[in-house]
Amino acid sequence: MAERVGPVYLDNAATTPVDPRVRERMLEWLDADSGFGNAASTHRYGRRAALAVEEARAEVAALINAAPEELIWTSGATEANNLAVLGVARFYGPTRGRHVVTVRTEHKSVLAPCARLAAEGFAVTQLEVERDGSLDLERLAAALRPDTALVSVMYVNNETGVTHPIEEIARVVKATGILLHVDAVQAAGRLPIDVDALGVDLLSLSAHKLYGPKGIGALYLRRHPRIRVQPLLWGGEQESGVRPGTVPVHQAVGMGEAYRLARLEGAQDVARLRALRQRLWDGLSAIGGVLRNGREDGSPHILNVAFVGVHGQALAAELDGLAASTTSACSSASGAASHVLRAMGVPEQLAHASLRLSLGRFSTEQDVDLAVQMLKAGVERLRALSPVWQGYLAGRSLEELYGNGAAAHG
Amino acid sequence: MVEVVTELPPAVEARFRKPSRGGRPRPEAGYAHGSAGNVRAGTLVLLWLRLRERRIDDARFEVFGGPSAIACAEALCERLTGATVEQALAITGLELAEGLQLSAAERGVALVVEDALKAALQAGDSNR
Repeated sequence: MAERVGPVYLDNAATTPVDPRVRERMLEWLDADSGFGNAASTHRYGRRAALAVEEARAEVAALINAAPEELIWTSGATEANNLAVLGVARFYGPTRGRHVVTVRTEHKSVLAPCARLAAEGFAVTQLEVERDGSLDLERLAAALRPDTALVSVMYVNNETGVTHPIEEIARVVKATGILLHVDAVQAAGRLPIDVDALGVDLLSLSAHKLYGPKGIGALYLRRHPRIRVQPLLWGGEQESGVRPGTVPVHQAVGMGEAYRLARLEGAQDVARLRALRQRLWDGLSAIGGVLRNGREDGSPHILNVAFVGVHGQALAAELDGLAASTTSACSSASGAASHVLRAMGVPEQLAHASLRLSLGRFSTEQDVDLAVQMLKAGVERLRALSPVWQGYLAGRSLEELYGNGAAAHG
Repeated sequence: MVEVVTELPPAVEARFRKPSRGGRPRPEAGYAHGSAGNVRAGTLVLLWLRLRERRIDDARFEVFGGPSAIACAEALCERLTGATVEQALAITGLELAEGLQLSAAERGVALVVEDALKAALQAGDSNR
């Protein structure tokens, strides 16, 4: 592998490097001699491309124990989530009812379509979470109504790694005949996913969070009983008309290979990730005044921590040598504190001073140790200037130091 | 709206990376103390001034804030050291902000620093 040119990369929940084996498979399909066929064409070029696309579909399906025909290619998980939420609500709304239920800590690609539905006249319930990011199933059960068409809950939270018990959630939701959509982007390859055992109706997947290319994802749509969605795009018969548009063969092949590797190597990956995350937490918690946002039993690749006494912007400015996310990459550009951490009751300034560190297949113990070293040096330097840290050392509570909601942390 | 910090202005960078007057004096006795801002609003500035015959011979700060706030407090303390109370009273947040090339969105932190200065000078006044 080439020598690293940038900072230590601990941002694998934002995106992962493409596995060289995936890249290799993709290149065949960018080849001028044979790799350019349109999978919808009936001539030889097209048939060859279609075969590759279907093999890839079968590989993605295999990771989640689905049938290949239950998967629809999309441009990524954002589209998959939009298609699931908007597609189900718009298709079933007139018959089943115009109410959808989701959770405050979902990804924006679920929350924003829900907001869109609200603008279209749907009722939307956003469930609160507990202080540790978990979901109270009684709260969920209480939110279901006779006119609820869809419940959308993520498997693994992208900021905290907190997992929701999908099987139990499905039991609650399915008892009423309501459809269940699961955003499984961060779960794929890290937690076992069996769509039948879990009992989900729709499930979103991404390639680039699992060592595949950007620009492709998939939506699982249960066949028995058949789940229908209203398309977001119109204009062709590809993907049964649910998602028209020429299938990007190289991208599909890349996702297929990435998911094949995850199926074969996932268990090893997870064991490594778990050990690295423990090493990271041991190193960071030894600094003192470092709080975990989320739960210890979360997904093995994500650790979200808050540094008491440190200002978020000052912390970010200390992180030249470390690529990690100050709150979510999706919301950090806006400067607002993470909606996930705020929903968990983390005070705003502590949410700003939180960092998501996420590990991947190519992370090493050396990466982890360097990250701990850099963070320790930066945090200690800033704390020496911080009146909040002085207050913390003097025994003042987080509530006193940060204001409302600070009791979230023990 | 908070701006995303990509690159700090040189005057901010230097003072943020290596402040020489950060950290409260120990012991604090003999220093006039003032503070302004608050944690929830994102900037809290604490200042300590040691006055000798209406002249400031030592100035220290603590800041909970971003690089601009830390640099601004450091820049202020640099200017205060050796200054008379009258000279100190004339210092404004705006000129500190301009000296550090703070963006319009970040000038607010300089005003918090100015308020902390006023509070410390007032405390120094009532101490005598």
